[in-house]
Amino acid sequence: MSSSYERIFDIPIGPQHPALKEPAMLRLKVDGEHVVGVDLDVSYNHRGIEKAAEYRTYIQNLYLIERICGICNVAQTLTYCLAVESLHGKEIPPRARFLRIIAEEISRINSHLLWLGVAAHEIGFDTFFMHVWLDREITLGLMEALSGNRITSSYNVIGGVRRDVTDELLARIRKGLDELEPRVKRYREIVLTDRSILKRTQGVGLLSPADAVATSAVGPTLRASGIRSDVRADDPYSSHDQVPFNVVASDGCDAHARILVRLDEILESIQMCRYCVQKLPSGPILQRLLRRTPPGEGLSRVEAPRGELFHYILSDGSDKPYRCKVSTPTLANLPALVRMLTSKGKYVVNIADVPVILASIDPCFSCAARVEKSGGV
Amino acid sequence: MKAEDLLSALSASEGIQEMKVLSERRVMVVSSREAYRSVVKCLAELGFNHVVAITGVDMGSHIDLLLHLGTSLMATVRVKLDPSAPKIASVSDILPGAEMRERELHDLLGVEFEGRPQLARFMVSEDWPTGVFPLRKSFVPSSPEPRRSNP
Amino acid sequence: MGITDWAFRKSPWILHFNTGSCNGCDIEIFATLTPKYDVERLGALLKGSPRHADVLVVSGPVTRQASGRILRIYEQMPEPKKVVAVGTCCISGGVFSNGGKGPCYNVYPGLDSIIPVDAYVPGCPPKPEAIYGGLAKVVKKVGGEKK
Repeated sequence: MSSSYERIFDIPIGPQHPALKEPAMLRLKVDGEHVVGVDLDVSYNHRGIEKAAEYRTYIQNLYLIERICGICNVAQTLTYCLAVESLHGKEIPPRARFLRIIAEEISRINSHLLWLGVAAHEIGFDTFFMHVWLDREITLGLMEALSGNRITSSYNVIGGVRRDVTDELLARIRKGLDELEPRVKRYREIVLTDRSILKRTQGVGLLSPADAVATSAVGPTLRASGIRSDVRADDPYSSHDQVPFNVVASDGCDAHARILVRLDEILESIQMCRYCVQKLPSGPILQRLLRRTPPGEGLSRVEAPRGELFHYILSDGSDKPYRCKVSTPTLANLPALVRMLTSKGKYVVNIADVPVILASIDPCFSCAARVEKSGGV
Repeated sequence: MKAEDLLSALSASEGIQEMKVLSERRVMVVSSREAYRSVVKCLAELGFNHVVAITGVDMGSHIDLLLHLGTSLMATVRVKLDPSAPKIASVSDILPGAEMRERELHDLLGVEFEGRPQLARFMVSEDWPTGVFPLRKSFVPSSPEPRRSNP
Repeated sequence: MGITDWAFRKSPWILHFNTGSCNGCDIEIFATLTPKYDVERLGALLKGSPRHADVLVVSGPVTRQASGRILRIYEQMPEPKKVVAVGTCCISGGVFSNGGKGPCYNVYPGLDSIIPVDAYVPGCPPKPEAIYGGLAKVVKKVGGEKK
């Protein structure tokens, strides 16, 4: 009679694996087809950015912080700029704040569409992946027109934004959003009705509301478990309190609910962009600030596409930060991921579900790069 | 909850050395090292059970540990630690979201968290020297030497 | 030009490995596979195993942890093989190495300090057309053509 201890063995997934877009090691403990535990190692992306930030000036750090994650680079620079600006204590012009929201929401649409394509690819629905990424080119074109680059935009600078917009550009943004909206609605229909997507995502990756709150999950992972928490509503920044929007949440608690939450967030972001384009105030786009930041502590947080992003900056009065700390949403969601990947009682996780569950939290291990190795909770 | 309400709710707690409202949604609470766990428990009971981050700063004469909590109003608990032996009680049983962040701080700054199973120490990479903590001010970063083969 | 060279030029199968990138270059590499840029015109397919691949497309500044793995992947690929380094980080460590002034401690100064590289595609991130061009140039070099 074999003991259950002998039946459990390890399957390593990664760091190089077709299901993974970034290097990470998931050491799955399996009992037959069922996953009973997981050891995560996401340290492959650890670059030592927080230390390097102490040796560069605040302006040089903008370009370093931006490259913590290429997909949420607008959110990273926005949080950094908000933290530094809170130390200076000066008001940012209203036009700059609205332009920041436009850039942020276009980047959110970009990120969610990217994620939708990747999730479709993980399910095995490559046709869907190709269609979604073709539509993503619309928003990449808008980002390029707005800032000059498709991905790493460097649009936010300390004190405001880098480039102004003309009326033609605003018309182009409006046109692009009008083109995109019916297609997103069509994708939403597909996700709700297509049998292969439903079979592979419903009931998979369950995270109960109690677990979501206990593990401090953030972003769509938290909102798909029914908790209506969004930094733009709870702790508004950069004029979000003047732009009306709905916090999107769903009670499904599974991977399918997370897909729907992100799709609905794309539709909300389209509405927010339209509002900002229409009500854009006139005025300057940049408030000139001193090169040396006054001493103090700046804390800021922003709703990045993946969840709550937090920056802490400690300034000693010179032109280089004394300490720059970044806390990213993927790092916050890792304990929740471990819970989702563990079979317990009636909830069973098959090996084939693992890529779908991993993709459903929208992992960005380059953001979570400050963790070395994490064991199962 | 408003910032002033939080201050009055916490004023009865022992071990709090200082409380300050930094801005509309930011509150700073300075606690002694011994009272850290009870302050965190008190905050968790008041509804602050969402861990935003745990920051460690090497200030030279001491190490500052900052625990940031809260979704709408952010409360930061600050504790001063001795840099030669930075030890503090772990709060990962009260707040499971703190578990991985404490491990990160342990690897990067050398802070030891008592009262939790010490998982096998795995620094930033397998060949990273023990006892070297990258975020301490004494560590100067440099690029690694090129390599052409695995050992 | 022998049969292996002809097969290489007509269908270079790609393996992509991310050595610690910010994902900017990875997104552009995947965008090269999508209908607008369509690298499949070159015969390129994204494969999952190093044993099946002809061209190794690498992105990201090589972190210490990833350096051992990329060496092992390179050794596992059968000859003839080519390596394309995509992005400024892969070429020189980019913004992370910063030319040695306040570098990130976990990052090598470029992929060619670890494995030999055949093509460098600069950019942060390079546009999909540039990645496509880099791949096309590398494939053309196989079989004795000088250009």
